Amino acid sequence: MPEQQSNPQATRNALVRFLIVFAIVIGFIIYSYGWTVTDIDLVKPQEEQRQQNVGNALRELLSPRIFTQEREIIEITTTFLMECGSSDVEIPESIALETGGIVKISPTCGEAGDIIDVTILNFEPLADTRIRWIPPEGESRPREDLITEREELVLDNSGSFTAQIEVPRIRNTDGQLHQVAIRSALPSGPIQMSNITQLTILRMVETIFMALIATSIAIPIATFLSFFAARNLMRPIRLSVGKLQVAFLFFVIGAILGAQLLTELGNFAVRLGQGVELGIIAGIILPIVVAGIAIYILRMLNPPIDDKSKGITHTPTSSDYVRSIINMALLTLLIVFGVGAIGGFAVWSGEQLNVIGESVRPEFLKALEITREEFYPLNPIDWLQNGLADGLQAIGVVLNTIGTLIGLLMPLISASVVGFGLSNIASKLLTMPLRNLPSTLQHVVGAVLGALVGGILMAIIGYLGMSAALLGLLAPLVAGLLAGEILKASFRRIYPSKSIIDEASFTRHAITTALFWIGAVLAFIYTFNMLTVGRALVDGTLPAANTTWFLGIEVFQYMLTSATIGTVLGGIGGAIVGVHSNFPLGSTLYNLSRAALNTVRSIEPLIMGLVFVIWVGIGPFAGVLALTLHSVAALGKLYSEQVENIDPGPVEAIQSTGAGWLQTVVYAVIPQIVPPYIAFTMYRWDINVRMSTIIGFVGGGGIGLLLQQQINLLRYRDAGVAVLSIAIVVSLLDYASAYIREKLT
Amino acid sequence: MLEIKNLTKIYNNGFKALDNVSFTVPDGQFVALIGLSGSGKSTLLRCINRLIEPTDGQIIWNGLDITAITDEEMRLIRRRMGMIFQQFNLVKRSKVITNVLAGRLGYMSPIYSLLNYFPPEDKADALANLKRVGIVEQAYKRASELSGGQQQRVAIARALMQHPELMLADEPVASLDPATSHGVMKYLEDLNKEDGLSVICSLHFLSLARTYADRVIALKDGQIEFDGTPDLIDNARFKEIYGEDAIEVGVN
Repeated sequence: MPEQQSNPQATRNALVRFLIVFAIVIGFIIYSYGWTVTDIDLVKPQEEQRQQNVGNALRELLSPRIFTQEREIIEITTTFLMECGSSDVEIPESIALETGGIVKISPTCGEAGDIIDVTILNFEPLADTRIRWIPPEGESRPREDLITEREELVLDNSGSFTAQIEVPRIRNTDGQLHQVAIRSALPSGPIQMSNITQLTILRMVETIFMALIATSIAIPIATFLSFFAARNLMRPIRLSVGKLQVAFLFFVIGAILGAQLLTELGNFAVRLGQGVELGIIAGIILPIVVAGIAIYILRMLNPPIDDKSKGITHTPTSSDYVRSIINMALLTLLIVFGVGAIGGFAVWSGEQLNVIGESVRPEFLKALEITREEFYPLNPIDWLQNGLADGLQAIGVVLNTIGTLIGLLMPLISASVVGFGLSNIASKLLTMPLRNLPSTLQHVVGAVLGALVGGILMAIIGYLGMSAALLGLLAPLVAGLLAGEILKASFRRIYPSKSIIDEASFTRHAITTALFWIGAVLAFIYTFNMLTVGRALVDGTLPAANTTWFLGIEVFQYMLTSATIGTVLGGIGGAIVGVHSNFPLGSTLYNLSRAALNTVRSIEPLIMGLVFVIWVGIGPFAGVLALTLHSVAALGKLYSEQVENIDPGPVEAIQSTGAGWLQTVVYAVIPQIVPPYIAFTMYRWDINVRMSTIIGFVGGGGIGLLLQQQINLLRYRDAGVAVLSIAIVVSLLDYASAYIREKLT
Repeated sequence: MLEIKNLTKIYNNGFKALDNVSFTVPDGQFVALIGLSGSGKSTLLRCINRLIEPTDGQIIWNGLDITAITDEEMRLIRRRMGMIFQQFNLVKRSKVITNVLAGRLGYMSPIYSLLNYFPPEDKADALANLKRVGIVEQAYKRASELSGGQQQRVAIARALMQHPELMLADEPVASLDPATSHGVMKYLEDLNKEDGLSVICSLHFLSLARTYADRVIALKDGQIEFDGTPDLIDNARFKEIYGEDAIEVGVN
């Protein structure tokens, strides 16, 4: 009986065992397929030619041409008669040099294909020597020693050598005299650093600075992004849907207004700071005076908050509205004007430094026109002056570039400052009116605002979609996401959960997930078809740029279609959730920034370098841009993980004092993340040096460019110098960064 | 005056930390919260300043229902509620004075905070508060260099910077030795008696509650098990709150 009972168990065990064996077999088949796909082949590596080639290449790589020395060439020729006895000329057995060196060949006559001995005696020890065959007419050719199979012979310590060479077959030279030339190269003069070593050092410095500049530009951007990609900081941030809608709409309005109205003011400020308008004195004083007045007015308008005031939820009066609007207007003007003036002043100071630098430089050097890449011996005073001039001019270039960049970005700066200002003020002022909306009206207002927001959002996304096929997928994706969330929200409204436990129940979860996917897929397909994304994906043909008239503005038909879908979806969504419900703004920003960081991080800097080379040309700048972009994403991810790892206690404590989000970040988060941030920045610099050694292969400058050139020219000894320098620098930096990181953590 | 009405908190995992808790704290009262670990003391304290969002119920403070206001308005309310913690929650790498000044953040413009600027009168106030808790000479040390009792006193000074009307204390002495515990509790008592602050303080040891509190509220499984003056807790009550096997120990 027990046997019968254990039967099902035994069957199951057997089945499990069979499945395991089956899985192993399948796994092995897949693995073997992978083996064949990667072309693992033991025949080619055994071919003699290949072995010889790789041997030569490795020998040269491992014999880097770090040093060079001048050579003195000594050549002696001796005579050889083709066909013995065909001429009466006396042929000497050996030839002696004045220095005592002797060259002997035996026999001194013979036929093609004969083997003759060449003996060299009393030459300079260790000299490099070659034997060449010089026929009566025509080109001389090198002869290899049959014993060592080498063309280049090295004499022994006594300066002697015996080689066996073969008499070459040269037509119509029988009975004529041939020459055998011995060319000996003697090292003479001091051992010097080779050209390639000098070039390698220059390129290596360039490489290290590429990594440094890329890392340093990436730090502030990555730090900023890392706060958005940290779950613990973002999750608590919520906003009512209405406030978000208002903020979005007013951001768009503010951005358009800012770009239109304030760009000119910003540009004026740039010119003012540059001293183009009103001269430089006024250019410096005027912005300071304007800033002082603006700050004074702001302080007058905003007296310090009374400690004892408890009226927190009072309805804003009309004077509050006026005051907030003046505040906002003054602040935006101040920021745009101030940033512009600072940018202009930076350009001006850069130019001044350039002039001062040039005036410090020793007079005689100016006439010489020495490039950065040349070494020129100088006495210490001149060297110091020259260095000071270079330094001042370098700072001038930095200031000039930053100032010019600010000038170029003025429309963007104005748009974002005014956009953020207006959206901030509008969402603050409309908080009370929105909250006081009766519950019936909140859905109507939500629908109207939602339609506007959805329309604008999808118009922008549609516009992006007109530029490339993959970007065209964004609109269907966003529409799908919206539709899915709408179905989910409708279900929740129609069948509200009784409790949190019910909300987390499996059936509810399954139903909402299913509804989400149904809505998402349907909306995706509909939008995909309406916007003809398929055609762009298949043919690479971008959508037609037909324009049409909408509310008196000429717009692209494509954008309008996208916007219409957005309007409908936004309207329905807004109507269902209403303006009062909470929107998890923090989580949304968190997910978006995480996705963006991960996408950018997954693109190799080499590929980015390829694109930047097209944009800014071959050279280190392209490499810097590629490394910066990749570093922003990589550091952003690493940093944000550090933010997530901080002790939550101080954050809680600072929050409990009534501090805002920004204040909590500054006082509770930043002090905790400084050491890990420094550690990760060191680590990133280390990685960037390694990456910048190869980014030159796509034209990104630095040591990689030099290495690639030498490899293409088959100069493996020169390439060896570059490889060696990379190995030294990378391992040194690796060690240094590990040491510093260890000290910090 | 603080009124708690039918306060309930259910965490996302379904755990019911507070179950229909109601009580009123008149101004100037010293309330001790006691109960086993997990009985809801910390959740209750954090619901009062909404570091944790209550699921249901109302918290009415000086006539305003603070469960109904926005996060931004709650930020303004929090300025009047000081809070100290079991782990002190100082920013350990910052100086003591910076930690204390952080208590003023709610009154400051965020732009000043970016520049790490505090007005001179706040700095004077910070030093005065450090003097009050007896560690003014440590003001420019790093917070991590201080002992536990000193760190908790820094935390009290930080809370004082807010000019609070209510002090929330979450196990303020649970990480301290008995002698230091009394020191810290005396400062809380001092705030209560001299400045007239209301204090709500969760405590592990009933003996501390007996010494310092006007009133004891005992929580058990998220519900109020006892609410009254400390002397009303006899052995039978004690066993109801802490379970049959518990024995009262004292802190001397």
